[in-house]
Amino acid sequence: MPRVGVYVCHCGKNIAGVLDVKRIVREVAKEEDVVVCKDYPFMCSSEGQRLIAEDIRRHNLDRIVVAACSPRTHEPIFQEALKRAGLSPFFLEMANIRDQCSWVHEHEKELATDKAIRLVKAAVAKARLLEEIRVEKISVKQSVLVIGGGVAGITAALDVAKAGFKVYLVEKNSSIGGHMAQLDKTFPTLDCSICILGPLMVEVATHPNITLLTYSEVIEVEGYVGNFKVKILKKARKVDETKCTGCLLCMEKCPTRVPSEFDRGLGERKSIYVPFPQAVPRVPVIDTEHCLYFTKGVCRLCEKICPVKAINYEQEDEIIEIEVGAIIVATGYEEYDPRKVPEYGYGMFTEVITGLQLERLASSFGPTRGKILVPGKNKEPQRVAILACTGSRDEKNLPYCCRVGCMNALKHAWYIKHSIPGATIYVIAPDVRSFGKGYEEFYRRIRSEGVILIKGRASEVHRSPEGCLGVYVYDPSLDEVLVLKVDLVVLEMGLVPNPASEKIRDVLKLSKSTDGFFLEVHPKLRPVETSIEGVFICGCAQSPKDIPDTVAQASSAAMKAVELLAKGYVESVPYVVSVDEETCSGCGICVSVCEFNAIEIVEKNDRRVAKVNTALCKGCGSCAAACPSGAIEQAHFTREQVLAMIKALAR
Amino acid sequence: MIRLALVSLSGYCSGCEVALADVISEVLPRIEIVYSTLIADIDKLPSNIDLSLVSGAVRTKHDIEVLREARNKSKLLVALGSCASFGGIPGLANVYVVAELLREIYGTYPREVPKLTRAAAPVSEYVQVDYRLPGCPPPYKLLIELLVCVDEKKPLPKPPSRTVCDECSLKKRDVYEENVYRLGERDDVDFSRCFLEQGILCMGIATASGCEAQCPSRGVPCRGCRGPPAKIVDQGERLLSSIASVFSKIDEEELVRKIPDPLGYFYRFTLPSSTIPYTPEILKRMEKDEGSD
Repeated sequence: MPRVGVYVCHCGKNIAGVLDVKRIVREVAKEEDVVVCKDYPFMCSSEGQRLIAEDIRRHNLDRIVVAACSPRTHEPIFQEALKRAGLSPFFLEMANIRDQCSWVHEHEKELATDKAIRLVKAAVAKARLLEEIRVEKISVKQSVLVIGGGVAGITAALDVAKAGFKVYLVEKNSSIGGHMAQLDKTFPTLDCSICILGPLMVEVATHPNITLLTYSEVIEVEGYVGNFKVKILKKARKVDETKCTGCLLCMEKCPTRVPSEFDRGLGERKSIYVPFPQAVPRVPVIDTEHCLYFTKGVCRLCEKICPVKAINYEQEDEIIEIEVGAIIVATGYEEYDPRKVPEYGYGMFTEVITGLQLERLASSFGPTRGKILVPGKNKEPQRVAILACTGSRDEKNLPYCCRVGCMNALKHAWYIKHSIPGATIYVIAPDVRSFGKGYEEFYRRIRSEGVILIKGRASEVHRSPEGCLGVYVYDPSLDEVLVLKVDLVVLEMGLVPNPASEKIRDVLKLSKSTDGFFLEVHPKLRPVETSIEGVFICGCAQSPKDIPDTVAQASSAAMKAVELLAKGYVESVPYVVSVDEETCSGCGICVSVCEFNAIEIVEKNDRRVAKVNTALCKGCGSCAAACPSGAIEQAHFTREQVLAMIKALAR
Repeated sequence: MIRLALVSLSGYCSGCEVALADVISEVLPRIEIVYSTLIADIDKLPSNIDLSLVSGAVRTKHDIEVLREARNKSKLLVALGSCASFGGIPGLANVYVVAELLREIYGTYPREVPKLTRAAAPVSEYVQVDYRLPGCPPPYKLLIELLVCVDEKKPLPKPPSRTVCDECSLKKRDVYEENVYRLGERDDVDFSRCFLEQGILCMGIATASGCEAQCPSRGVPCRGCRGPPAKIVDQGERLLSSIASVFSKIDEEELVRKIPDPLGYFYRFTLPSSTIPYTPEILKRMEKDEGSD
């Protein structure tokens, strides 16, 4: 006969303010096999835990029910308490009478208490049937894969490498640096962006613990926390990295001209190129779509000019296989497509550009060498409208805040003010959210420099009869629709997940939140962990954020990876499923619902039966819930246990 | 020689008796029919019955009396067919209260029907059942096997824990379409391939084996007449969970639109023995509240 101890938590007023805790204790104490039934103000406090441990010894308890909050946050705490008292942690069952009862029924106290009694009785019914579960220790590979070479990936890679672990940094472009390398300056300190990022990029390239794989993509990930097997596609650069010295003579001599992706289409590059002068590694790549040799079979000028014979037109894509213990995803963001906000005329008027395009115009290594010129007109703008919140906080487009647009708008106003002192600058913003350290001060500084701020949203951008652009905006303080005559319109676009992250999501089977960014386990307490153990997220891949937040989060993700590696082992998932091969009829429903590819159908004695790879099983229970014949059982959630709960609830 | 009684309750369609007629030439030397209101015209239950084969769901107060008498006079009592085993098709009426039901069927015409119970129920709700042989109708091979076992005093066969899929010869690719179709809705059905994988609802996944997958192999998806396999209590709940899991990528409302009668699909034969609250026990409580017809 099991001996069950039941502990009802007040959770301060969270539970006791709604439920009659004493009545719950009285009712549950009558249940069969319940030896002890108590309440306590805070079960999760050290005193509450001590109470459980003491009773386990004194009353010889072998099953514990804690009626409190969510097992998601508190199960591990009480499991530890059981362990300390010498009892298996799997003899614990929690009844969630807070989130699922007191919080949602605060106006029906009497009925809520009735419900809580049933919930606790159901937990007792299950607790009676709990079984011991064996967990195994699995060793962790002492290396980390970082996907994405922006400032998030760079920071995470360096942090892990400096902690003494091997890092593979994979970047799909030919150089690391990401969007931060495209920025001229960073708000609010107006640091030169590449001046602070450049040294870190070089450190990545030279650190002995980091293997840098640029122009490469992660194409396959198998395995589980601590033991991921990763396949990386290293695309052919057509330039031998081991020979190239980075003299860039080839780039100089190449006769082709192609719009530069790095300069957001405003400048040009060659077919053999590094995207920007500070690129790391400083090894060019051949764009085979535009190269004369690859398109027409002529030229080969780069091959002739290269002093070290590094050009290799025959070089082929390579697949590299590595094993890592943890994965950090830092795939970053992309600007929202400005064509999806057609009222502002992007693509129709050359004078309408995005924030990132202005960064390139302002950059000393940009297409205009840092001179801000109106694209297509080649002259300095005297009147500029900056439209914050373009596409953001807009039900038709992106409902969420991009968290950088306001400050970018102010920074861009400063760029123009600084290089064209006489220019008239309008910043049109629904609100200016200057929430960060030093941001409000920066906002005041910009205002004091004569930038005109208009609260609201521009409704339209038109070609005005004078030849310039007219920006229509309703100004609530004047109660009038203004038409601003300007030479340049800058759209501070909202941010969306990098389109390439979708592929990574498929490969890693990560979840995304409704806005499309990767989903963390808990927005406050576990912001860099994902539902896939051993896979961490940081930077704009998780949600839009500025550079300080990105760097902080990248270090946090690195810390989580280091924590895993330094511990050296992981415990196998306890709540895995098993298949009764006698009952299984091979219908394959389980295979189609398993998100982790942990189940396959195999032939056994001429019958099709399901086979579970317990190393891959995450214990999510999807297959057990879907199995139509009852052949699949999940440990800790057996059919018998669940039915016992239902019966107790329905009694 | 088995002294055999065929107890046909009111919620029956005589399909099970026809199934018995199918095998009668093979088992005739072994049986003596001592009671049947349908094929032998003996309307008094004798004592000393070896085997009572009960067909039909329990639906009237009279049924209960006959059933209890049969139980008292029989050594073995077997629920024959899906109605006696699970409540069957008549069980779908359990979502109506009796007054509503009578009004629906008979309107305002004067009627003389035996007093109905609050709900259609499987035989096992009222008497102890020694064995269930479900199927609509029960597969003839299993019927012969049962009669032979009884005659030769061997232990009765074990109820199957596997499903129709185990016996089904249709090819599987373990890939499911991301849409649900009703049979007849698409004209490119591959009749050599698993129906469910093609998005056509087939209940074989949660239906006890033993029928040799006769329907799917003849181009008709399984309707689930054999009820749940041994490890499962609630067939409809399993079907619902499985199908909702497999087709989780379809828009919810679209899926609901494609399955206009979920009760009829998933609980066609087993509603009265399911866990949802149409079981006689709970309905009895409701009866008190509503007052009987």
